[in-house]
Amino acid sequence: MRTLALLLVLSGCAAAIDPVDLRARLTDDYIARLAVPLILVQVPQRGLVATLVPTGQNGTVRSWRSRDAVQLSYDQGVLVATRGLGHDLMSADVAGTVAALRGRSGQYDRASSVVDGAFRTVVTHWTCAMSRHGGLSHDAPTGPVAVTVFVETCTGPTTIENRYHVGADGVLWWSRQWASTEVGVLETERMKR
Amino acid sequence: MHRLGAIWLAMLMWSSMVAAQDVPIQYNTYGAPGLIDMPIASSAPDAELAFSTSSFAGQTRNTLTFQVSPRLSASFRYADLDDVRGQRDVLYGTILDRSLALHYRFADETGHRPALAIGVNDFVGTGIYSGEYVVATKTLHPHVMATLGIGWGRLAGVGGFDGPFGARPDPDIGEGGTVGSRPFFQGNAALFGGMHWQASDRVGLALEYSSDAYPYEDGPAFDRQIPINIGLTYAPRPDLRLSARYLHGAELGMQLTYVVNPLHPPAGSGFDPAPPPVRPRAVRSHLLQTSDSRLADALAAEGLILHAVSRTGPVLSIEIENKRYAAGAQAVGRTARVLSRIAPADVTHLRIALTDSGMASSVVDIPRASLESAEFALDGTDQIRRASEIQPHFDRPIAASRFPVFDWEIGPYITPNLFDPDDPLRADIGVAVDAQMRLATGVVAMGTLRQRLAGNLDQATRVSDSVLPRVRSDFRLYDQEGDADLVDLTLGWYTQPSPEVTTRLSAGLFETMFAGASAEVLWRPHDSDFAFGLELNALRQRDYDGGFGLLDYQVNTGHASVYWQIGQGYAAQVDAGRYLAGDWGATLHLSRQFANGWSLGTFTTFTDVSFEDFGEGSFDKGISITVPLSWISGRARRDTLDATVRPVTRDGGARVMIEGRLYELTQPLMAEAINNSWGRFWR
Repeated sequence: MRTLALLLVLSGCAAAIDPVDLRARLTDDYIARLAVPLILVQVPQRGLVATLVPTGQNGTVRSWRSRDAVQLSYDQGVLVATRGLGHDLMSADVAGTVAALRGRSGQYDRASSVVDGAFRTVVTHWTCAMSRHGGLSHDAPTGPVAVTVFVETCTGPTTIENRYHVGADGVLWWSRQWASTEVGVLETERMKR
Repeated sequence: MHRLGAIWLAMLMWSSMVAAQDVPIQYNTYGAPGLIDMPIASSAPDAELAFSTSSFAGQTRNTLTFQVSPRLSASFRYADLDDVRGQRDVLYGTILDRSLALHYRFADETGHRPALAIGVNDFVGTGIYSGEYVVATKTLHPHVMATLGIGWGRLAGVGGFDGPFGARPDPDIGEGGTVGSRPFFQGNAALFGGMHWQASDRVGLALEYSSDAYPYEDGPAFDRQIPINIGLTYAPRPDLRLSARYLHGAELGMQLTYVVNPLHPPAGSGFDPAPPPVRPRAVRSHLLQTSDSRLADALAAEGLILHAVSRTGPVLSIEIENKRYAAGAQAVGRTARVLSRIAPADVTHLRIALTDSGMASSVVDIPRASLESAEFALDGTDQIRRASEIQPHFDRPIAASRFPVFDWEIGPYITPNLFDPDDPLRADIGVAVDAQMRLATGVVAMGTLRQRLAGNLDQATRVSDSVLPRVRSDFRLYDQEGDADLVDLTLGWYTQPSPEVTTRLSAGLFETMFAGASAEVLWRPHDSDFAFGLELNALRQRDYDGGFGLLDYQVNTGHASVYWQIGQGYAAQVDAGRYLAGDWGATLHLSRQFANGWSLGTFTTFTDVSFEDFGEGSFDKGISITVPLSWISGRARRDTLDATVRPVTRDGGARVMIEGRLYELTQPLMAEAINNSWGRFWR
């Protein structure tokens, strides 16, 4: 198993770090002093954890980059691309998901693409439904935030489930989103807006 | 070319895992898709490569099988056979036997019909395994396959009946190497068959009725009892299979099979650092003037060398050299993104050309607006391809790069010598330094120095018995003398007098055995699957010690070449001309090339040297394998692991090895190469 260099904005340390440990090291003081937005991302299937800072904005898509040059792109909080994880999510159509998080009901389509070993694009289509679950208190660095839990179930070649914790102001505080079969899910936590 | 083979091969074994399938294809003791000894009609997944070693009763077979196309597979086998009976009951203590086999599935399995295949075993070797078959395989249950076939030759040893196509002469275990008038599908025929049950993902069981009576082995090597074999296969990983068999009611057999598929890189899209994101023009104001040094630095961070940049109205043209990416389109994509961040806002079109050694072939014209809109689109790869144009590169900007550019690498190397008749596994290991210096546009000096640390190549004792000038067969002397070798040291000058014509002049120490001067011209018409080349060399043999000394042997060689991209990744090449021993003839190369850089091929050379004068093997032939190191490691890099395997190294049909021949050098610059790798534009 590869061990990836982990990104730590705060210490620059590249040693293997327990995810809980890294989360604990992002103290409220430290977060408050940060001049840039920050997300904390875990990839449980790979045993990876990293903090990422914004590196680009194209329309509604914001890209975040880790110190070891892994890049994750989210369209209004919904994952649309990964780069540098191996078996990357190359692109995604998440218009339906974004609309459903804003309250639109009913089934919708979703699609994602990867690049195969012969350098061809392979697109996978999904049919999804979003369900809204009750409120929850999210423990944000700035204090507890009331969030609504959305659960998205998509059926395609397999079934995937994504979770989104959305604040009253529309901020996506926490999510668990599927990237690709080999990468698994990404858990993204908003640490600094 | 890469000489750090050992470590990379180990990494390949370590890292590659193939996708699981319902009933994985099993490889038989001959290394071909099959039950235990018998073949089946099913094929392995397209492009799968299987390395297998099987052994029982002193019969060891090492086989490389490649699924050349979805229907055709080819096996190259090297067998070490103990206690075998030859003609007139002569007993051989040990025979090292090389053989080739082909398997073609001519009908697919349907709901009611089995898959059907035809195969030929051992059609150029000594013929000890010579046999042919037609076989049917049907899936009876998701995990159970049944096979029934009819065999000739060796596969008609048990329960044979008069075949329809006449009598079959005995094989002649002689020099080998001739296809000649093989008695395909002649003589007796017999039925064979069996079942395979995949009990779980990891465990499979096989039972077969074998029509092979082991005519040369039964008696001296083992005592065959019954025509029944049973076997158990265990797969600790999807790419590794261990088999144990009880064969012919007499002997236990073991087999290890390792499979790897060029189409399934272990790291998927790879761990290359993420590219810089596109910066849309609306986000912030851009520089009014492009700063060349800032651009060069930004490109260098992506492994790209800026050679030239020029601006005509809203069009920014740039020439870059790709030092890092196996996929040309990935280099183009990264250049485009760097330019999106740096180019003045009134630049609307980016024209990106890839160059190497002062040569270019195509330019990709990308509308900047499409780059901005397609970055995160689901079909962004298609969108940007449709919006862009790949054109022949005519209006080349003046090169503005700074010289000299110096590159070097140090690392371990391994030089295996497989198939030495006395010891099929010889190798040296040591440390190699590769250096390259670009002195001016198209002028490249390069060299390789090697220090041997350990190995047994020098222990070969067989003295060349060649009646030809010993241009290759004295390899033992080269291996023995001198631990430090200057492998090559050359100065090359490349020019491009017209967009479709490139030239090379080079001189120096080309390889361990030959030095001299070489001139080459290549005509590669745009939009054509063909290219034509001519090469002339004045050569002198190098001394055995790996220094600057030369021997007396001099020869002028040269070849006219035709290159053909057949389509679907298949390629053919014919070189006709004069070889190192002064012999005249032609070489046919056939290969399958993958967009990701893998290549597998065969070559065959016939010259005016008679089979008798050539010696063992009768004519020069072999297989070549190229594995991109980026495929193994998942890290972007352009170098490859190259292996050429010849059953026997003799002096006929030998060609001087020259690094940087034009076809290979210009291939990645072609529109076709950029197109074939386009899926990585956004990677």
